Amino acid sequence: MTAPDWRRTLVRLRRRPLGSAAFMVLVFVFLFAPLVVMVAFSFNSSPRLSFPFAGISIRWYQEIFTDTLVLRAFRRSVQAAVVTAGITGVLGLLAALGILKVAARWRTVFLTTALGPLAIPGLLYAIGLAVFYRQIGVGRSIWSANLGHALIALPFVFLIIGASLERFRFGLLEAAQDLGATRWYAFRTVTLPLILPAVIGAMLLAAAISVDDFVIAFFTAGQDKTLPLVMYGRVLKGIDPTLNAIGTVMLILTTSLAFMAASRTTIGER
Amino acid sequence: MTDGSRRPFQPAILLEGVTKRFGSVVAVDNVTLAVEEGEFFSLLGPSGCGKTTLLRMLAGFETPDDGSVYLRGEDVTLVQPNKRATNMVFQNYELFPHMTVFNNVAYGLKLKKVPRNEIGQRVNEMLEVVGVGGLGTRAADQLSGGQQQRVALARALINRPAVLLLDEPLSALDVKLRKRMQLELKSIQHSLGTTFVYVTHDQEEALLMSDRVGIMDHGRLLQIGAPRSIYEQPRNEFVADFVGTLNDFAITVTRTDGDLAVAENGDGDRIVVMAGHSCRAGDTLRIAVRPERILLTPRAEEADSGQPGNRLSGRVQDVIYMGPFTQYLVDTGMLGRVVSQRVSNEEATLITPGLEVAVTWAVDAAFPLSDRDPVEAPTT
Amino acid sequence: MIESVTRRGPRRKRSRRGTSGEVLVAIDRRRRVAAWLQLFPGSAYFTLLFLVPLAGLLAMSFFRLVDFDPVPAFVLSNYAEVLTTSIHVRLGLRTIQVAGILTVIVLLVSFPCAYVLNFVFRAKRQLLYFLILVSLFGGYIVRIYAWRSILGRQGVINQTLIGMGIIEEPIRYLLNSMFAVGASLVNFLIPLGVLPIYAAMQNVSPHVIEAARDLGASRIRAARQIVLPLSMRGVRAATAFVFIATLGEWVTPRLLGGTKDLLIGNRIEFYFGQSLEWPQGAALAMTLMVAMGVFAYIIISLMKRLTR
Repeated sequence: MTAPDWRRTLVRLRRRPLGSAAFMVLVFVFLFAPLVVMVAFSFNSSPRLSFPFAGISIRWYQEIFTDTLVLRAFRRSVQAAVVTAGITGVLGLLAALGILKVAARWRTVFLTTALGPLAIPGLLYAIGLAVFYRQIGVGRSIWSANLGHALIALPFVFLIIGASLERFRFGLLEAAQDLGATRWYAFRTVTLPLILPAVIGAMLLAAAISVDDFVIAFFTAGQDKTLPLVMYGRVLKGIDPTLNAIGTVMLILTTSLAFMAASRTTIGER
Repeated sequence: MTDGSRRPFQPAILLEGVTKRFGSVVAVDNVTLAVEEGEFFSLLGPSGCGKTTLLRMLAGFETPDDGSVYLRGEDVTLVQPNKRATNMVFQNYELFPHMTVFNNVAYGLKLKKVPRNEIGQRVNEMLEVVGVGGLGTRAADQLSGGQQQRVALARALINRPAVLLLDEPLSALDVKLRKRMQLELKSIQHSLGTTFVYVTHDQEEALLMSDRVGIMDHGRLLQIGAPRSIYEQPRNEFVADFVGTLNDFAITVTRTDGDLAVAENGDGDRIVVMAGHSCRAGDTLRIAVRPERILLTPRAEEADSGQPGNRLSGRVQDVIYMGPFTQYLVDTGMLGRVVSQRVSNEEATLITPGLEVAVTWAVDAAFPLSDRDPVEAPTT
Repeated sequence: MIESVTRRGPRRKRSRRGTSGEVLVAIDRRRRVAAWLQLFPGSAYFTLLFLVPLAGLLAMSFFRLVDFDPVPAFVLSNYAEVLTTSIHVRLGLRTIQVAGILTVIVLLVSFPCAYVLNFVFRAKRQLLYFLILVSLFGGYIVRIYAWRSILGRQGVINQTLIGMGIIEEPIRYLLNSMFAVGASLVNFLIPLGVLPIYAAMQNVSPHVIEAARDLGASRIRAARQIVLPLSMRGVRAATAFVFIATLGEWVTPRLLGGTKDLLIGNRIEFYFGQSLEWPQGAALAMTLMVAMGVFAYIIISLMKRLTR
């Protein structure tokens, strides 16, 4: 005997994850609402923040791209990204390679200590760094901030490269060596090409962390204002329609970095 | 690293008293072995017997704690893998996943600074030899298991190694493909004349492919010999048991007749063994008979030949159909359970569970067993 | 360079060849030295720019302020001053309260979110995961500003409502309120909650849930009794992230909260950014760090008991 059609439909409906779908939609609307609003109003021709739009224009972009203050900040943010990626890439790769070869108890010590920056609030680290710079007589500048950015990004880079090395098949190196390769040649032709996506991904993530950082730059960059610092200054002064455009530019910068990072590392493979 | 001790007579490989320990585990225990040029030599044993460690010492990935490894007469005990004239086909191939098939195979030649056009020619030739011609531009991680296996073989063989080392290269393939590759490997080896050292735990594979087989257990080399001698004249219980199925009996001798020892139980059951002159009545002998050498005849059809051979009466307990073969478990009064095997044909179906049968085998089908002890490698 | 991992056997001992044995030991030692050389730059950087600054902050908390200049000393008066200031006690308690509420809210959203991602919409989980990642990197300051433009007196909600004639005066309590601070922080913290829980859930096979369902458990029960304990590591990490982030928060209350909605982080910022009484600020920071440790311990042991 078959069940009546209406019951089948009911069961089928109940099996559909409608509740889950509704939940996820709500979460994503909440997560993206501020960003969507900001991007939308960056194209509004009127400085007023109300619907409906007065019209679509790129005047706020024209304004910020002729504003030397913003342009200089933009350049500093890009510099911070590059420097952070560079420092963390080199240090992280070396450390991840080195840690494979030390005894297990040392490995634990290193891995645990490396998580330190994640375990304390950014504010406390930022003031610690500011105190340190003052004590050793280093002035506030974009470079001072860069060093701090690299420090907070280093654990991520180290862990991401470490994870990719963990999945690396070391038998490949034996194969290379068996075919006549020296260790260095095997590293260059086998290890490096295979972990390079993870290394680049980790560096992009470091760059994104650097561009996004506000707190460390606030306490250590001084007059070398990055984009987040410029935004903060203008927000304090009140509503400024160019902020939507600056925010959108930053959003594009950080999310595209994060996107490229994710598509290259295990973060993205999940 | 040569110590200059070249010998007048040079086997492809010579191991002298090689021992390797991992902590308290002796992985390879005082192994001495010579492998001839052009030989297909298999190391056969259960997992953990030390065969792979032995292979890795030949390749240079492990250094012996004791003893020496000679390659074509040259002491290579301490030579790094990249400086040895051996190449290896790894168990899981270890193809470089970020390279094409061509670049995988060309890797060794590039390191030897072989001219570019010669590399191209040799790689393509080698790919043809192993049967993957035309796959050169394919990415290495887009190959089937069998193709990967062939590429790994090409990548190793192209360097014209003094010895090719193969570490269970077929174990990841399905049965059908494995059978085909066994024959192909054998014929490639034959046509190139390269010395192969082949590690496997599959006795059938070892017997089928090799010129000689070395059986290992607990790090010791128990017996070396041609497949036939390994199978038919195993020197000890482990070898006999590991290679093929075995009926293993202990009998008490009731009388002797020249160099024949006879055991009888008075019910007409009789076992005759070639035992040598030293055997006395009352001695206990351990003998073994391969199942396919044991014949069953329904008791009803038995013609009493009156010959003084082996004869036991028994009852068929179970019939196990195995495709090409059928196995019979027979309960005999004198020796307990005996396993017999024959080709599955019309006659095979006539023997059914419960049937009373006569169990017989030729006197020379039985061989005596000793406890396991290692044998010295025969100096060829 | 790295392959020694797979090759690390016991110390090589060669009875017959003394000299070559020494060669092998030397190779071994060279590799170990290489490992430490590779670890050195990162470790040195980490020590110099992380451990030393934190030690410096600790030292600073004992310094004396002379003419607005911190002078090396060992006084406990900074701590005494910081701990007896009533506003610190009030802000500290409020911060802990806010952090607790936010943690609960974020966990209540993040766990189902990670669950749905990993088990319900398994086919699309990469895309969804990526969207969450994007929102994590959507910009800290950018998002705070965006909330201002949504909730402000001249923000999207008020302007639109006025424009449509629904209200005449802008609703004031949307911005510069605890509501705005909370909304923005929850928004910022959800990805930080989802990521570790989702990562931990990767190790839970969907078949485990099917097995629980097969044995008669409802979906909710399976999620609570099977998935939650198995992904507890992630939940703990998420809790820690959210709590830590809230304790150190000061920008959000500054830009979105009213004068009554400040958190303890604002006081630290005040000492370092405005009053320049660094020793007091350092003492407050150290107190916060100790409190954080105590809370982390309490919460984690509570959670352990809960899942036992």
